[in-house]
Amino acid sequence: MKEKIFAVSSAPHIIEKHSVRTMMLDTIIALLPAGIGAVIFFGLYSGVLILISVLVAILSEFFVNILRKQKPTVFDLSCIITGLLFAYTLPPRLPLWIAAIGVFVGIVFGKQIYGGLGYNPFNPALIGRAFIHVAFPQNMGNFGLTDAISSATPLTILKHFPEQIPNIPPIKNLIIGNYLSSLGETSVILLLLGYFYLVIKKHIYPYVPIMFILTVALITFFVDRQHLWIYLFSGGIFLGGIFMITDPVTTPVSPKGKIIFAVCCGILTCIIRFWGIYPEGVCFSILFMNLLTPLIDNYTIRKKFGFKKV
Amino acid sequence: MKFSGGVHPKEEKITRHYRISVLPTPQFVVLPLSQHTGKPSIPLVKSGDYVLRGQKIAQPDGLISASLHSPVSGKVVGINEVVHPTLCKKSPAIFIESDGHNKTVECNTKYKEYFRYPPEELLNHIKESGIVGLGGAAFPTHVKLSPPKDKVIDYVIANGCECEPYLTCDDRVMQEYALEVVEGLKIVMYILNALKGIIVVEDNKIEAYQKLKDKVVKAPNIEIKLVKTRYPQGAEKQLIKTVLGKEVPSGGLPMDVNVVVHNVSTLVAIYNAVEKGIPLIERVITISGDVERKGNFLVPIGMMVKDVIKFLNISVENIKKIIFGGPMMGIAQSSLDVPIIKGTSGVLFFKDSLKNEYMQCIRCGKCVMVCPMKLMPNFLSLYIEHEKWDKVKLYSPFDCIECGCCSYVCVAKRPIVLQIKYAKSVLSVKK
Repeated sequence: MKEKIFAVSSAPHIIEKHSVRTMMLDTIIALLPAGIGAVIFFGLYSGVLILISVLVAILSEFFVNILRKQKPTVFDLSCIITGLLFAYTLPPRLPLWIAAIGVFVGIVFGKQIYGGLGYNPFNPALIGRAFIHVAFPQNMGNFGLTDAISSATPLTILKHFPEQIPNIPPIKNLIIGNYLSSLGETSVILLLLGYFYLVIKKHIYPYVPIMFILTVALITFFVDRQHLWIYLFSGGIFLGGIFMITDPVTTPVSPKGKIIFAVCCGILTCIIRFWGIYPEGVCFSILFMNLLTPLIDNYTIRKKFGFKKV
Repeated sequence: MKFSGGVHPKEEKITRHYRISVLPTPQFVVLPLSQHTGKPSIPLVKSGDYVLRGQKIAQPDGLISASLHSPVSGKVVGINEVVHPTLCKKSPAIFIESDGHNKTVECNTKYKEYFRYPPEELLNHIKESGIVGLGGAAFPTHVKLSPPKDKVIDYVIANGCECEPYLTCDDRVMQEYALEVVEGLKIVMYILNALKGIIVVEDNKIEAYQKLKDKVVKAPNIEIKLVKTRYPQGAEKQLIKTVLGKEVPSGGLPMDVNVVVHNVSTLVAIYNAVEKGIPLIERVITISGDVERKGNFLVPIGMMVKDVIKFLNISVENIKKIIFGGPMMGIAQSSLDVPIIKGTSGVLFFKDSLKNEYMQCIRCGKCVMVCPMKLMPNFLSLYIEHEKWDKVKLYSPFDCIECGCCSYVCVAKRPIVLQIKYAKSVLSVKK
């Protein structure tokens, strides 16, 4: 009998079935309810907007793959998440071409230029969003079809049109999502569904979004107690808190670092909201904290087992 | 108090209800001189010598080393090289051809009533019997039993966790040799002058727990504890943390927190050596995986895997991988021409060779969550990949116990443990 040679490799010889793709797929599933909600609340056009964003995200990723002569990285599904997250931050009537430009910038200049998934310092969806926010301020501020006041989100009203405050929809509507806002930010309940799904699947630390939301709540409580619930339930607190602050690539790795990150994001969000020029600060606060992620990582190396004196 | 981190892979303890059966004596046995952690033994026999079963054929070299005994009676064929199952390279070994009679040397039963003798004498006897830790690391037992004078040992823990999937040899040993486990523990406690013995069993081995519980009723200073099944519960430091809430200091040994841990199979070997005078010449192994014939078998040490599969009629046609030990920490073998050594707890046969291309780290932090030593495997992996050794040192690679949890959960399929092993070898050379 001929001597048979067996495969050798280093331990462990069994591994969990999860892969980057399944993890991304779970995140997409968690994002779906909010997307379906957007179509229900804002009509079919918002569905088209989401689809275009995802499509352009995939094409941009593929485009870079061709330029860099590498294997297609589309199948790790991370670009779909970028497309979805990006679309969710858009106003419902944004022209398709602006969305396409934004997501292209996000994928190419927010992610691929640094080397692709795992190497990007900033959340690519937010880079795209920040770009069009600055490049097309007119379109980004336009949430309705008529004049500025009737097209204002609750946060814009609080900031710029105090006389309109009685017209802000009741808290119930803010939680369900039936009011004017960015596509995916609208329904707290649908976003929470995604949160529980990710927690059950163990893809995110449950306390990270909680710490962020608590920080915002605490500061808001001292600054503007009267409109606490409006500040919490409208705007990007839940979308950002559940899906962007927990983004693995652009946030610190250690549990302690994650908490520092979430709390700082909360503080920055409030600073921008109350004392900055923009009504909403989630996007820029996360982007700024992304910048500090390596620093936080360096200062939050875990205390190893057996380190404390017995 | 439970240790932090850890994983719970599918248990796959298929063979837990299979009674231990004895395999026939093979025609040849091969005994590598390095069966244990430490220096290889020095052979006492030469080609052509006739040896009896249980006769000492090699003596320890220095303090951290162990004796070796022939598991069969027959003729020494020679001292040649064989592929060593854990060092994965050719290593000298004593080849013995069995005469099939299994003539045994006269057993030294002088220590049957061990408590009439001073601990030093028993210690010497255990050293003579060639006993090493049977959990996998094969650390010479007499070294563990002789702590420096300034270290007081309060607790002796009998490790019956067997947290690796598939393996059931310790489980069966506890069920079928419960009395021997408890008596072995008493001997160890006598030698170390320890106050208390604790037997720890994971809750997926409830039968073993019951059997042992019946036996410890009469021993007031021995306690038995059932702990939650979690990998790596059987790792010394994690076990002490769970049972006593104490953390062994980084770079330290269990004796630094006044504890000594012994595997249950080792305790049975100590019992056999002290009460019956039988040296360590056979052990129980688990045969499992993707083969028809599974089970727990008592095999002579030095039996070749090819003989094992011949006796058991195992076909390796579809088998791609053979592993010595458990699937989380075991070592893959390239051929069937390897001998079973003292530290081999099982031989697993797998159809799947598990080839994975790995990706860049996406920093998901799952490895950080499961690391029982509270390290940050993701950064270790990253910096080792780029050979930034100064950075690697910051993340304490030498504290890694190589349990494999990080590689097990990694979504990017990165070979983190392999990288850390590499870093350890590079950094220890650099020092």
